[in-house]
Amino acid sequence: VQPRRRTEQDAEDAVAELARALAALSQADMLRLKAIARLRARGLPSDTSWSDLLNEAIARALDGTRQYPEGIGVIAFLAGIMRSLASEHWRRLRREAGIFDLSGGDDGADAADPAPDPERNLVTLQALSALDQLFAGDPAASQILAGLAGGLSPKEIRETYGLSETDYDSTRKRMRRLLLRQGIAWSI
Amino acid sequence: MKIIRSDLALQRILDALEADLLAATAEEVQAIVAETGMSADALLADRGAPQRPSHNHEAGGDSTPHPDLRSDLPLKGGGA
Repeated sequence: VQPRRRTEQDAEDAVAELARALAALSQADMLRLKAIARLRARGLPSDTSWSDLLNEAIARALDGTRQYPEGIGVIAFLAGIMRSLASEHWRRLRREAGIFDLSGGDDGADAADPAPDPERNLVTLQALSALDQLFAGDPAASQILAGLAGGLSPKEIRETYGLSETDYDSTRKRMRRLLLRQGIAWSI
Repeated sequence: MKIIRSDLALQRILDALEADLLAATAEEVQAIVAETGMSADALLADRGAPQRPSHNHEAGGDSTPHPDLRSDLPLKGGGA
Protein backbone atom coordinates (compact mmCIF):
# COMPACT_ATOMS: atom_id res chain seq x y z
CA VAL A 1 0.00 0.00 0.00
CA GLN A 2 1.42 3.35 -1.03
CA PRO A 3 1.52 5.85 1.84
CA ARG A 4 -0.77 8.80 1.21
CA ARG A 5 1.16 11.81 -0.04
CA ARG A 6 0.83 14.96 1.95
CA THR A 7 -1.39 17.37 0.14
CA GLU A 8 -1.44 21.11 0.43
CA GLN A 9 -4.60 20.75 2.48
CA ASP A 10 -2.82 18.40 4.89
CA ALA A 11 -0.09 20.99 5.33
CA GLU A 12 -2.61 23.76 5.96
CA ASP A 13 -4.44 21.56 8.45
CA ALA A 14 -1.18 20.87 10.26
CA VAL A 15 -0.41 24.58 10.51
CA ALA A 16 -3.93 25.33 11.74
CA GLU A 17 -3.62 22.56 14.31
CA LEU A 18 -0.30 23.98 15.46
CA ALA A 19 -1.79 27.47 15.73
CA ARG A 20 -4.59 26.08 17.89
CA ALA A 21 -2.08 24.23 20.07
CA LEU A 22 0.01 27.38 20.49
CA ALA A 23 -3.01 29.45 21.38
CA ALA A 24 -4.00 26.86 23.97
CA LEU A 25 -0.66 26.95 25.79
CA SER A 26 -0.98 27.89 29.43
CA GLN A 27 1.31 30.37 31.12
CA ALA A 28 3.09 27.46 32.76
CA ASP A 29 3.63 25.91 29.32
CA MET A 30 4.99 29.18 27.96
CA LEU A 31 7.39 29.50 30.87
CA ARG A 32 8.54 25.92 30.35
CA LEU A 33 9.12 26.75 26.70
CA LYS A 34 11.13 29.77 27.75
CA ALA A 35 13.29 27.65 30.04
CA ILE A 36 13.89 25.16 27.22
CA ALA A 37 14.77 27.94 24.77
CA ARG A 38 17.17 29.47 27.27
CA LEU A 39 18.83 26.10 27.83
CA ARG A 40 19.19 25.43 24.10
CA ALA A 41 20.55 28.93 23.48
CA ARG A 42 23.48 28.08 25.76
CA GLY A 43 25.00 26.19 22.86
CA LEU A 44 24.90 29.25 20.60
CA PRO A 45 26.92 32.48 20.47
CA SER A 46 25.88 35.10 22.99
CA ASP A 47 24.44 37.39 20.31
CA THR A 48 21.70 34.83 19.73
CA SER A 49 19.13 35.18 22.47
CA TRP A 50 16.73 32.52 23.63
CA SER A 51 13.84 34.60 22.30
CA ASP A 52 15.47 34.79 18.84
CA LEU A 53 15.75 31.03 18.87
CA LEU A 54 12.19 30.46 20.03
CA ASN A 55 10.70 33.03 17.66
CA GLU A 56 12.53 31.46 14.74
CA ALA A 57 11.29 28.01 15.74
CA ILE A 58 7.70 29.27 15.87
CA ALA A 59 8.14 31.02 12.51
CA ARG A 60 9.44 27.84 10.87
CA ALA A 61 6.56 25.88 12.31
CA LEU A 62 3.87 28.36 11.29
CA ASP A 63 5.15 28.91 7.77
CA GLY A 64 5.04 25.17 7.22
CA THR A 65 8.82 24.77 6.89
CA ARG A 66 8.51 22.34 9.76
CA GLN A 67 5.37 20.29 9.65
CA TYR A 68 3.56 19.68 12.92
CA PRO A 69 3.20 15.92 13.24
CA GLU A 70 0.21 14.30 14.83
CA GLY A 71 0.60 12.93 18.32
CA ILE A 72 3.44 15.13 19.51
CA GLY A 73 3.11 17.91 22.04
CA VAL A 74 3.66 21.43 20.77
CA ILE A 75 6.40 22.12 23.32
CA ALA A 76 8.34 19.00 22.33
CA PHE A 77 7.83 19.93 18.67
CA LEU A 78 9.22 23.43 19.14
CA ALA A 79 12.06 22.08 21.28
CA GLY A 80 13.02 19.78 18.42
CA ILE A 81 13.02 22.67 15.96
CA MET A 82 15.20 24.75 18.27
CA ARG A 83 17.63 21.86 18.52
CA SER A 84 17.78 21.64 14.72
CA LEU A 85 18.19 25.40 14.40
CA ALA A 86 21.17 25.29 16.74
CA SER A 87 22.80 22.55 14.65
CA GLU A 88 21.93 24.44 11.49
CA HIS A 89 23.58 27.56 12.84
CA TRP A 90 26.94 25.79 13.22
CA ARG A 91 26.64 23.99 9.90
CA ARG A 92 26.03 27.29 8.15
CA LEU A 93 29.09 28.84 9.76
CA ARG A 94 31.13 25.85 8.64
CA ARG A 95 29.84 26.18 5.08
CA GLU A 96 30.65 29.86 5.10
CA ALA A 97 34.13 28.99 6.30
CA GLY A 98 34.48 26.57 3.39
CA ILE A 99 34.41 23.46 5.54
CA PHE A 100 32.22 20.77 4.04
CA ASP A 101 29.84 18.81 6.22
CA LEU A 102 29.44 15.39 4.64
CA SER A 103 27.21 13.88 7.31
CA GLY A 104 24.14 15.86 6.28
CA GLY A 105 22.08 15.15 9.39
CA ASP A 106 20.89 17.22 12.32
CA ASP A 107 21.86 14.89 15.06
CA GLY A 108 25.49 15.08 15.99
CA ALA A 109 26.42 16.06 12.47
CA ASP A 110 28.74 18.80 13.62
CA ALA A 111 30.02 16.82 16.53
CA ALA A 112 31.19 14.10 14.13
CA ASP A 113 33.59 16.51 12.48
CA PRO A 114 37.17 16.05 13.66
CA ALA A 115 37.85 19.75 13.97
CA PRO A 116 35.05 22.03 15.18
CA ASP A 117 35.73 25.65 14.40
CA PRO A 118 37.31 27.83 17.10
CA GLU A 119 34.17 29.89 17.67
CA ARG A 120 32.15 26.79 18.41
CA ASN A 121 34.87 25.51 20.70
CA LEU A 122 34.79 28.74 22.64
CA VAL A 123 30.98 28.81 22.93
CA THR A 124 30.94 25.16 23.92
CA LEU A 125 33.53 25.56 26.65
CA GLN A 126 31.75 28.63 28.01
CA ALA A 127 28.46 26.75 28.08
CA LEU A 128 29.99 23.72 29.79
CA SER A 129 31.65 25.98 32.34
CA ALA A 130 28.37 27.79 33.04
CA LEU A 131 26.52 24.49 33.51
CA ASP A 132 29.30 23.25 35.76
CA GLN A 133 28.99 26.35 37.91
CA LEU A 134 25.21 26.07 37.96
CA PHE A 135 25.41 22.67 39.63
CA ALA A 136 28.67 23.23 41.51
CA GLY A 137 26.97 23.24 44.91
CA ASP A 138 25.51 19.79 44.37
CA PRO A 139 28.14 17.03 44.10
CA ALA A 140 25.65 14.40 42.92
CA ALA A 141 24.40 16.75 40.21
CA SER A 142 27.97 17.36 39.07
CA GLN A 143 28.51 13.61 38.86
CA ILE A 144 25.34 13.16 36.83
CA LEU A 145 26.41 15.99 34.54
CA ALA A 146 29.77 14.28 33.97
CA GLY A 147 28.00 11.00 33.26
CA LEU A 148 25.63 12.64 30.80
CA ALA A 149 28.57 14.29 29.06
CA GLY A 150 30.14 10.88 28.64
CA GLY A 151 26.97 9.48 27.13
CA LEU A 152 26.30 7.15 30.06
CA SER A 153 22.85 5.73 30.68
CA PRO A 154 21.16 6.42 34.06
CA LYS A 155 22.10 2.92 35.19
CA GLU A 156 25.74 3.43 34.21
CA ILE A 157 25.82 6.79 35.99
CA ARG A 158 24.41 5.24 39.16
CA GLU A 159 26.96 2.43 39.03
CA THR A 160 29.89 4.69 38.21
CA TYR A 161 29.25 7.11 41.04
CA GLY A 162 27.63 4.79 43.56
CA LEU A 163 24.27 6.54 43.52
CA SER A 164 21.15 4.71 44.59
CA GLU A 165 18.13 4.90 42.35
CA THR A 166 16.49 7.22 44.87
CA ASP A 167 19.59 9.45 45.01
CA TYR A 168 19.70 9.60 41.24
CA ASP A 169 16.02 10.42 40.85
CA SER A 170 15.98 13.04 43.58
CA THR A 171 19.11 14.66 42.14
CA ARG A 172 17.61 14.84 38.66
CA LYS A 173 14.57 16.45 40.23
CA ARG A 174 16.73 19.06 41.97
CA MET A 175 18.53 19.68 38.69
CA ARG A 176 15.23 20.19 36.90
CA ARG A 177 14.05 22.68 39.52
CA LEU A 178 17.29 24.62 39.33
CA LEU A 179 17.12 24.69 35.55
CA LEU A 180 13.52 25.85 35.67
CA ARG A 181 14.39 28.55 38.19
CA GLN A 182 17.31 29.67 36.08
CA GLY A 183 15.41 29.41 32.83
CA ILE A 184 12.34 31.25 34.01
CA ALA A 185 13.59 33.92 36.33
CA TRP A 186 17.30 34.50 36.62
CA SER A 187 17.67 37.32 34.18
CA ILE A 188 15.12 39.43 36.03
CA MET B 1 41.70 8.03 30.11
CA LYS B 2 38.77 8.61 27.83
CA ILE B 3 38.67 12.00 26.15
CA ILE B 4 35.24 13.38 25.37
CA ARG B 5 34.74 15.94 22.63
CA SER B 6 33.43 19.08 24.27
CA ASP B 7 30.82 19.81 21.61
CA LEU B 8 29.48 16.29 21.80
CA ALA B 9 29.47 16.44 25.60
CA LEU B 10 27.50 19.68 25.56
CA GLN B 11 25.03 18.26 23.05
CA ARG B 12 24.40 15.24 25.25
CA ILE B 13 23.95 17.36 28.36
CA LEU B 14 21.57 19.78 26.66
CA ASP B 15 19.51 16.92 25.25
CA ALA B 16 19.21 15.26 28.65
CA LEU B 17 18.40 18.47 30.50
CA GLU B 18 15.90 19.45 27.84
CA ALA B 19 14.15 16.12 28.38
CA ASP B 20 13.97 16.97 32.09
CA LEU B 21 12.39 20.32 31.33
CA LEU B 22 9.90 18.71 28.94
CA ALA B 23 8.87 16.46 31.80
CA ALA B 24 8.36 19.33 34.26
CA THR B 25 4.82 19.62 35.52
CA ALA B 26 2.69 22.75 35.65
CA GLU B 27 2.85 22.53 39.44
CA GLU B 28 6.64 22.67 39.39
CA VAL B 29 6.58 25.70 37.11
CA GLN B 30 3.99 27.42 39.28
CA ALA B 31 6.08 26.75 42.37
CA ILE B 32 9.05 28.48 40.73
CA VAL B 33 6.85 31.41 39.74
CA ALA B 34 5.62 31.68 43.34
CA GLU B 35 9.23 31.69 44.59
CA THR B 36 10.03 34.72 42.45
CA GLY B 37 7.19 36.76 43.87
CA MET B 38 6.45 37.95 40.34
CA SER B 39 3.53 37.28 38.06
CA ALA B 40 3.83 34.77 35.24
CA ASP B 41 3.05 37.61 32.82
CA ALA B 42 6.02 39.61 34.06
CA LEU B 43 8.29 36.61 33.78
CA LEU B 44 7.06 35.92 30.26
CA ALA B 45 7.61 39.53 29.26
CA ASP B 46 11.28 39.23 30.11
CA ARG B 47 13.45 39.83 27.04
CA GLY B 48 10.84 39.44 24.41
CA ALA B 49 9.11 36.16 25.05
CA PRO B 50 7.10 35.24 21.97
CA GLN B 51 3.64 36.64 21.81
CA ARG B 52 0.83 34.17 22.00
CA PRO B 53 -0.76 33.84 18.57
CA SER B 54 -4.28 35.17 18.28
CA HIS B 55 -7.11 34.00 16.08
CA ASN B 56 -9.41 36.12 14.04
CA HIS B 57 -12.04 33.67 12.92
CA GLU B 58 -14.88 36.15 13.32
CA ALA B 59 -13.34 38.57 10.87
CA GLY B 60 -12.99 35.82 8.34
CA GLY B 61 -9.50 36.96 7.49
CA ASP B 62 -6.18 35.23 7.70
CA SER B 63 -6.43 33.24 10.87
CA THR B 64 -2.86 31.98 10.74
CA PRO B 65 -1.00 33.67 13.57
CA HIS B 66 2.48 35.01 13.11
CA PRO B 67 4.89 35.72 15.91
CA ASP B 68 6.35 39.14 16.31
CA LEU B 69 9.70 38.49 14.70
CA ARG B 70 12.70 40.70 14.46
CA SER B 71 13.95 41.40 11.00
CA ASP B 72 17.55 40.69 11.83
CA LEU B 73 17.32 37.24 13.34
CA PRO B 74 20.79 35.74 13.52
CA LEU B 75 19.31 32.37 12.63
CA LYS B 76 17.45 33.56 9.60
CA GLY B 77 18.30 31.95 6.29
CA GLY B 78 19.41 28.49 5.32
CA GLY B 79 17.12 25.53 4.84
CA ALA B 80 15.79 23.76 7.88
